[in-house]
Amino acid sequence: MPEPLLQLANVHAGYGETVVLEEINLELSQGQCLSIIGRNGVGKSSLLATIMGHASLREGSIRFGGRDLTRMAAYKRCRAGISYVPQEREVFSTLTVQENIDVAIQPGEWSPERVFDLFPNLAARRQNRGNQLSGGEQQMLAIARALVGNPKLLLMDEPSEGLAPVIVEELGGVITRLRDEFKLAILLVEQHVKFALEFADSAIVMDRGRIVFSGDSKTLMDEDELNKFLGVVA
Amino acid sequence: MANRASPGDPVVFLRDRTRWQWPEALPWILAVAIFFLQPITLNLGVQILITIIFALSLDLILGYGGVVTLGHAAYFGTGAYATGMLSAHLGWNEPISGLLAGASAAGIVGFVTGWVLLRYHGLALLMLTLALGIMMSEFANVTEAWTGGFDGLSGISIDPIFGIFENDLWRRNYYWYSLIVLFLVFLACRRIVHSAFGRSLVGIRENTQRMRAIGSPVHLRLVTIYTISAFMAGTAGALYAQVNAYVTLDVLSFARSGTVLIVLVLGGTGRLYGAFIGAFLYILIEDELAKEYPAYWELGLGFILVLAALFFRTGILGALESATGLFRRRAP
Repeated sequence: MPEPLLQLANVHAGYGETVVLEEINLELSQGQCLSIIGRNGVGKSSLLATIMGHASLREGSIRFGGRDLTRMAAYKRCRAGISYVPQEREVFSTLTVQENIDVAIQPGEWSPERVFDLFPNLAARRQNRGNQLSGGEQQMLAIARALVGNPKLLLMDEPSEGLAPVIVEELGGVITRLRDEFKLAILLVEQHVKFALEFADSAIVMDRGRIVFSGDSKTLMDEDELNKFLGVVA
Repeated sequence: MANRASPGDPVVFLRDRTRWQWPEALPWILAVAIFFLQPITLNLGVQILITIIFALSLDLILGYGGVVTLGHAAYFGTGAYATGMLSAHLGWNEPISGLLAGASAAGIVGFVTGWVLLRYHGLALLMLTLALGIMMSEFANVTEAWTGGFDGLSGISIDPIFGIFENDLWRRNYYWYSLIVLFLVFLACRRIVHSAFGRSLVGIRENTQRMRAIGSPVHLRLVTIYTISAFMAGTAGALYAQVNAYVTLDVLSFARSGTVLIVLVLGGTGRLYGAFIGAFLYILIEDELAKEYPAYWELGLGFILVLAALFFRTGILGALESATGLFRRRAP
């Protein structure tokens, strides 16, 4: 049986002295999508940060594409094939759209031209600076910047946060294309539970830094089942 | 069939971005005009040109890389002492190779110190760069046999450039020599800041963690630009030693590090031409005040700088940009 693309085994991680993730075990195969849901502050973003190398791994191991990431620097993880779309987008405000993309290019099939095909709105604004873009355009730029890193795995942290419904719909179409057309493995942290569950076949629910459910997304489509884990109405 | 570049091609984009704009000719026209009209002495002009080179070197790391330093004179002084000692002790008097040797010595010191210093940031980095400057100055003081210590390094004798152009009393030849060196340094700076590497420095200045997350080796890039910056600061120092044929501990002083920082902030950081405006105004004001008020000129200079800090927070060039939008599209 082939080794999973991403494998976290008994991961404990945190920031400084504080441990925020405990006993995290998960696997993700090439082209597979996994949604991570849970209330605010339960460690969803920290999980992505740990995979990216922004949080300190205290215990356990992270393997990606057969390589041990445990002591690998963040920039090497990106070069190994992990790209990260952060929650606050964090586009470079004084760089233009084109420059934001240029600084992130890694060798591979995703070229600036290709991401501009995917995001025609960005192509029209390539000379505008990051701070001149709307929230939706910034999110698209953040995804475009991640794609030119030519990832095998895309980590997306609440891509729909703060966006108008029409933009969320457009964004959903793009992410779905990345899944279906480009066969990217995607780890999606998302507050819009309905979208998250429809998007990925499998899902995990986190609570207080631990995984409390791991399985088929369809299981969580049942509202009662979901409430059991989240304690709120989706 | 012609090979047409696609519109999304970063090479095409960067090439378009680096096209010269007509306002960029102004400082060079002014520099040539100063030689022929001499509204100021050429000796003062050479000082301004050397200060611009020094300030440009600082702009690369501060304005683009976001590295704040209080010890940049360490590299200026290394260049000055290296070129001076080569001439005074080894009889290496050829000016261009001497200039490159001084710059290279500063570049090597920059690489070694940068590798360590740039692992730190914020207040720790500020203190470490300050300590570096003090240590270098003290090192030059105690190695008196080589550096001349407190009395300064004398015995520097630079040959005429290409065996023809001497360092005359009126600095006519050295004005052109300094201007050509400045132009070459500026071309290099311009090329760097408009390259993908230069853009990544701006990214590092804005968000270091994000740059790491998109695969940028932040430390290596900072060390690279720090080394280049030290090389350029060393070029300024080497030129200073050749022009004056004398080097004192002043070239390594904290005051020199502070002055170049003020010059750059006054002109505007992260714009390259801020170094030109800052150096030109600072040295002119300093010179005029020193002539008019020999006892109080530093007080007057301080007052002007306070006003500049209060009303031109983004530097003079920044204020001009805000007012006219002239360079807005090009400014990083």
